[in-house]
Formats: sequence, structure tokens, C-alpha cells
Amino acid sequence: MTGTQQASSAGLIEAARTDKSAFSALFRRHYDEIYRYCARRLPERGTAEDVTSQVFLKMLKNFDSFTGDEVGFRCWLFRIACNEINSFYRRSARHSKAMDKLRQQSRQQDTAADETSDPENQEKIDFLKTAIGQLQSNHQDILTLRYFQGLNSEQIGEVLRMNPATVRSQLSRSLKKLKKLYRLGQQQTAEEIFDYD
Amino acid sequence: MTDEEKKFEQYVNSLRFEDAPSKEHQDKLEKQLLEAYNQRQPAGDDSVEPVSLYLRKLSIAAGFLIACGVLFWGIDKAFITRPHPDFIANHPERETLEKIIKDEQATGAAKKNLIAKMSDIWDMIKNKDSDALVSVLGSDNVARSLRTWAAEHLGRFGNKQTLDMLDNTILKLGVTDPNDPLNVAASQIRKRLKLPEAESPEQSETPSMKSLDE
Repeated sequence: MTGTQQASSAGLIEAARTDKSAFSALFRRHYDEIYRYCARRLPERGTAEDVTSQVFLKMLKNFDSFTGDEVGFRCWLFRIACNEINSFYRRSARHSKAMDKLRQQSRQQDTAADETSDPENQEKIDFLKTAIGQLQSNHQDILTLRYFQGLNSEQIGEVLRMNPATVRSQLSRSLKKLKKLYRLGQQQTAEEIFDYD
Repeated sequence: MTDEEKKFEQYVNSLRFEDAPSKEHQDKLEKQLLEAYNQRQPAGDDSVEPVSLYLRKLSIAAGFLIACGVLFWGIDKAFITRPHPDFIANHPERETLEKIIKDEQATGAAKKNLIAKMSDIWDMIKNKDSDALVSVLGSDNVARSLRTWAAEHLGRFGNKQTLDMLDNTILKLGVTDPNDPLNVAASQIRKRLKLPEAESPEQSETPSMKSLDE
């Protein structure tokens, strides 16, 4: 984001407090990024859409209490998204059978709808999501904000209200755990992407 | 960034996620948000909380705290502090304990208190906690018969270190009564370890007094 854009964004947040069209513009500016983040972390499109809706509705509910600039606003949105995703997984852990069925149905529908889909790519994504899902929730947040969204340690620290040094150490720890999971489940990919020690 | 982190980043970037946003969902959500936007209170309206609401929240918090306190007190009384109701009935030294209660003429709350202390001392005896038992023997807050009971047990398993602790306590409190639980325990340990009896303070003073007279 350029300096001019940031300045105009700061003005946009202030304007959005009273002006509906400014609020609409603010929503459109961040929708794609938040949706993509949810879609990469959640099992299927419908769930990603539901969670994205929850994120923005929560944002609107607490919008008046938000104080900060555009960078802070983006971090705030990601914080809400992380909380909503973790809360979705906590809820779905209580209904795991129903979730598995839903995931299976959704995958069948997706495959039927998109004949050009690459099963190998899908298998890799599924494994990645499953492996990340086995980590602690804060490790999941850090790992996905870093590798799915490309946020740096300072930005992740701001999203999760953590020290950047702590983010770096937890990132390294979570990657080690992921490496173990890959070695157990996808030996070939593990050899491609991780060093052997 | 380490090589491994770079490789992993490249690997994730090589995957093709199905994460293209749907225009339909975006429009639907935008509409929903704008409807909610119209219904929300304008900024600043709720910035100052009315006193009545503040007091109501405060009373709820206070009520919650009191309820928690009562709950913890209840749990403590029912399961933690209170000894098992059958403590005396199932105790291997039932007769001794009943005699102590009788000797102390304890009834009602005093009896409950005495049984709670018995239970605590019994735990110390079972754990062979010499330090704790020595401090019980030197305490004025514990009934003498109870201390004597504890002393007999301490005399059965106490070692040289326990004896040193007992001697120190006897000296510190200036105990001269040979039937005091502290002396009873010390004497029993000496007998068991075949150590010579300690001299009483009066006895240890005698030779020097004699030499002064001479």
C-alpha cells in the first residue's frame, strides 16, 4: 500500500463512521483478502463464506470502538478472522462426524463441478490443511498469516498481540512440528520441502 | 528467513488454492452489512454509560464474586477441610481417638475441630513428616492428649535428625516436664536408637555450681 493510499485509507475509516458509501468502500477494499484467508484455512467454500460474513458483521458491531489507522484496521480484521476460524474449529470438533460428512459432500460437489481440477494439487492442499489443523491454534494462526497471507513477524505480532521475537520463535517451532507431520504422512513432499537433519 | 522457511514458502505458493471470492457472496454480504449499518446507533451515543447501567453491571459482578466465594467455601468445607465422616469409625486406632475425644470433652464444633486436627496429624504420621509433627508437639493450639498421641508415633519412626529438632524445640520452649509430648517423643527415639538420655538443664548446671561452691 502506498503512502497516498494509506493517507486516503485513514480518511476512509473516519468517513466510514458516518458515511455509508465510505463504509461500503472500506468493506470492498478488504473483502477479497479476508475471504481468501478464510478459504485457505477452512474446509470448503460455504464455510469460508459464512466465516467471512461473521468477520465483517463483528467488524461492524465493534467499528465505533476501533481506533487506529488502516494498517491497524487490517490487523484488526485478521485478528477477528483468526478468532472466528478458531471458534469454528472448536465448534466443529464437537460435531466432528457431521463435519467430515459435510467436507466429503462438498469435495464431491467441487470435483463434479470442476473437471479441470488437479487431484494431486487438491491432495497436497488437503494434507496441508489437515497438518496445520493438528497444530495448536496460535501456531495455526502464525503459520497461516505468514505463509498464506505473507505477513511479516511485526504484522503477525500486531494481529495476535504478540512480541515479534515470540512470533519468530513460535513460527520456527510450528514449522518443525509441521515437518514431523509431513514426514509421517507425506514422505515425498517432506523430502522436497524440508531439509533432513 | 532460513532455507527451510523459504522452501516451505515456495511450496505453499506453488499450490493452487480454490480461494477466488464470489461476487455473489460479496454483494449479498455488502447488502447485509449496509442494512445493519443503518440500524446501528450513531457513534458516540453509547460512549458514556448511564450510571444505572454501570451499577447494574457492578451488582452482577459483585453477585458473581459472592456466589463464587460461597461455592469455594462450600467445596472446601465439604471435601477439603472436613475429614471423611467415617474417619474415626474406620480408623485403625479408633479406641485411642475416641478416648482423646472423651478426655477433651469435645462436643459440637469443638469435636469437629478436634477430628479435623486428628485427620491432619494422621496424614503427617502416614507421610512420616517429622518436621510437621515436631511443630505440632510444640504447639499450644493442639490438645495435649492429641500431642501425646502424635509423640508416640513420632517416637516410633523419628531418627537422629528428628531428635535434634526435638531437643532444639525443648530448649527453645524451656520444657522441663518429662511427660511433655516433646520429651516423650525424644525419650522414645533415644531408647530405640540406644542413645544416652539427654541431661536436663538443671542437671547440666549442677557441676558448674558445685565447682563454684568449691
